[in-house]
Amino acid sequence: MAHRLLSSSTLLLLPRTQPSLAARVKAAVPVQYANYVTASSVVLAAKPKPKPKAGGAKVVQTKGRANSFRKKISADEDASEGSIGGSSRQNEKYYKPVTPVKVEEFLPSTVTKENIGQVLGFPSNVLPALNHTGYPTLLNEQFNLIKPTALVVRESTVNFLEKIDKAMKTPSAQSRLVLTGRSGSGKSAMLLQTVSHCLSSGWVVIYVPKASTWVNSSFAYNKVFDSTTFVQPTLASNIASQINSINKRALSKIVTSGAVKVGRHEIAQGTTLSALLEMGTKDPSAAQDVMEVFMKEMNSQNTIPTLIAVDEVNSFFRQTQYFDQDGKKLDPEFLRLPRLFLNYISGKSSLNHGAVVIATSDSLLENKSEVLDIVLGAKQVSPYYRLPPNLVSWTEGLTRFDVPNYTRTEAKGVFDYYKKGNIFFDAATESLFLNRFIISGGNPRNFFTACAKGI
Amino acid sequence: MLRNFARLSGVSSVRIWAPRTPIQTAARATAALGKGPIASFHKAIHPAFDAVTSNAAVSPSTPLPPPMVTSSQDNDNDSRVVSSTPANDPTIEVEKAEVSQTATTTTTTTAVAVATAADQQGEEVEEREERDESTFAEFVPVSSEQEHSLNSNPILHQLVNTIMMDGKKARAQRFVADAMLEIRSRTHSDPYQIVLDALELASPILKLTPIKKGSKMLQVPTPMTERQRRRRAIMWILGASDKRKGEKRFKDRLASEFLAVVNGNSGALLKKNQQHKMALANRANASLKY
Repeated sequence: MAHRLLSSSTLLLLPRTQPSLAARVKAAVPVQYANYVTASSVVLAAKPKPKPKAGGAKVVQTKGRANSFRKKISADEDASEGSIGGSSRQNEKYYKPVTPVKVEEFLPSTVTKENIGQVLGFPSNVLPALNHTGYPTLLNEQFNLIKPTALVVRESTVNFLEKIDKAMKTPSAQSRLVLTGRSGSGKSAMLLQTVSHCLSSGWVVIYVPKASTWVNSSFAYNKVFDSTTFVQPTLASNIASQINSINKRALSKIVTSGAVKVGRHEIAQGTTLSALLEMGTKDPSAAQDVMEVFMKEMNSQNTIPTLIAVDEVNSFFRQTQYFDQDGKKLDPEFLRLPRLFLNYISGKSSLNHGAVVIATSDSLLENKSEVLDIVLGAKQVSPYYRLPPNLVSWTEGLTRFDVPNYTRTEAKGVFDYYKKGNIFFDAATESLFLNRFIISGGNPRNFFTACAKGI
Repeated sequence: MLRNFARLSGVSSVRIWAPRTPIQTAARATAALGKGPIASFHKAIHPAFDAVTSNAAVSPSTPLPPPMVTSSQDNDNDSRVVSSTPANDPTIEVEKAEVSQTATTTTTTTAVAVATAADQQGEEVEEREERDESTFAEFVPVSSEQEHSLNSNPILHQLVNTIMMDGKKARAQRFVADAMLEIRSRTHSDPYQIVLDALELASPILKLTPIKKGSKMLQVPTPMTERQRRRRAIMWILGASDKRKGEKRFKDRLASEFLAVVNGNSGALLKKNQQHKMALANRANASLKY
């Protein structure tokens, strides 16, 4: 009975699991208009749907009483701003509809030297794809503030995308690029732009915005029988579903080259990769094998190039938060899914046509990787310092690409975008721009903080 | 001692002693050539004051209100002085010119231009008036960037200070700034206005002061200053935000609480209404003297 209720409508609310206001707003607005939240949709979502009398499962009985006269409607438990006291009305005076800023689209044709300093928004076919994977945490804060989701075209962007275009026809082992730079200098943003560029160009893109969640023991893990490795079923199935939803059109044209056995399932020759990934989504226990088969198929692809983009990659180059049976912390090579990606990052596996782009992140201290910092030259140590050998072997052959701070034109472009997005309290004059630019030293994150928060 | 008080109040029109004879004034004037402090007592200009007044925006976006003039007594006194000491005008003028050279404000430079261009007697009074107006405690206009600053805006500053614990001001400023950004993300409208309205909605008008009359403790409704009212509102809002479950970070809870006040369902509003009810109930005690 319950599963039929689940499948009938997306807006059906189950007892005791009423989603938060944000989730209800999301449900009330179709995905493609997700950036255009209107006041009315917020109000609609704010009012919980009237409980139908037919569905007896809607009401929650008070504890300990089987008496039907004592049925109590479950109160809205979540802490939305309109929910104390049950009624969730919102003062329309303050809740205004989103007015998106007018920006051009970030397409391969518009990313040129003439457009350096222009803020370009992600194209309409790329946005739903990025909604599936999510955005990096701190960038998300900026994207929530001003709509539409847009990033500035920088000189380093133009240079980097030229490199990516050259890598289109070469094996991925030759183009393993790592974006480095100071904290807040725009590495994740550049990775996002690369992802968007490749999606617009028709590549198959595998984007991981937060690799740290893979190794911080937030997903369940099992030991594989007769092996020292561990597998994360839920994670693998999530990744499979994400890849499928982003690249559905491209993947439905590629078929498997041979028959394989994946877990309990038999995959016939000629099944589309899209169907393969769907199977992995439905069956988490087979998801890891599905991922490995999928990556093997993509290796031999010659028609469509593939991009593997991993953010917060420094968490793959240090001990994970998982424990083995002896109570010692696991290295990432013992987790099957991170290891699969590490193979491509280190060049041990290679895609025929494609590139691997990774970015480091200074967000959390617990994700910092000493090995990666030393190998990339960010940290200087004595030559006698012993690096853990098993981690160093994964870092060979990476090409470093430094992301600098904003130049004056780029910062001005961003400032104009913020001005149109109306986040300044007062007159956004040239003197304010200079003030903010100098305070932040051109560092993109500090520039945003100075502009948006005034500190 | 009295002279110091006069200097502190910045009023040069106060005559502590008997009006000086021309000879005395001349002697002082010559002695004062090159010495700042004595001249500054007469004119209430001080090297330090000059530095302060240069903070004014050079080209403000909105037209400035005219500078604050303390009184018209100055002009009267000065004109009396001028009329009684015609012989000493050149010396006084030299002294003034010298002092004005050291000044850095644009108004004084214009005054110098006036002084040098014009003839002695007629222009002197004007020039002296202009100089005195500009050298008094000048109205320093708040530039538009500073109005919503967490440091200079009194309301936001009070909010920051109330949130601050153990002297960690930067942390408190970060909280307030983040909360305002969060409000902006959720409502897409001006968060400063929302914070202002929320504080106004949650501020009580009266507080109850307990007094002992005979053996009984009576509650007397008493008025509150603006700052007291606002502080009470902030304390209630902070208390109500702590009760929020599900939101982990302080800035999220604070933002939600401001929005809840503005939407009409917050614990802070309940407290305010309760206090008002108590004040109403005890309104008979308001006339008691204590």
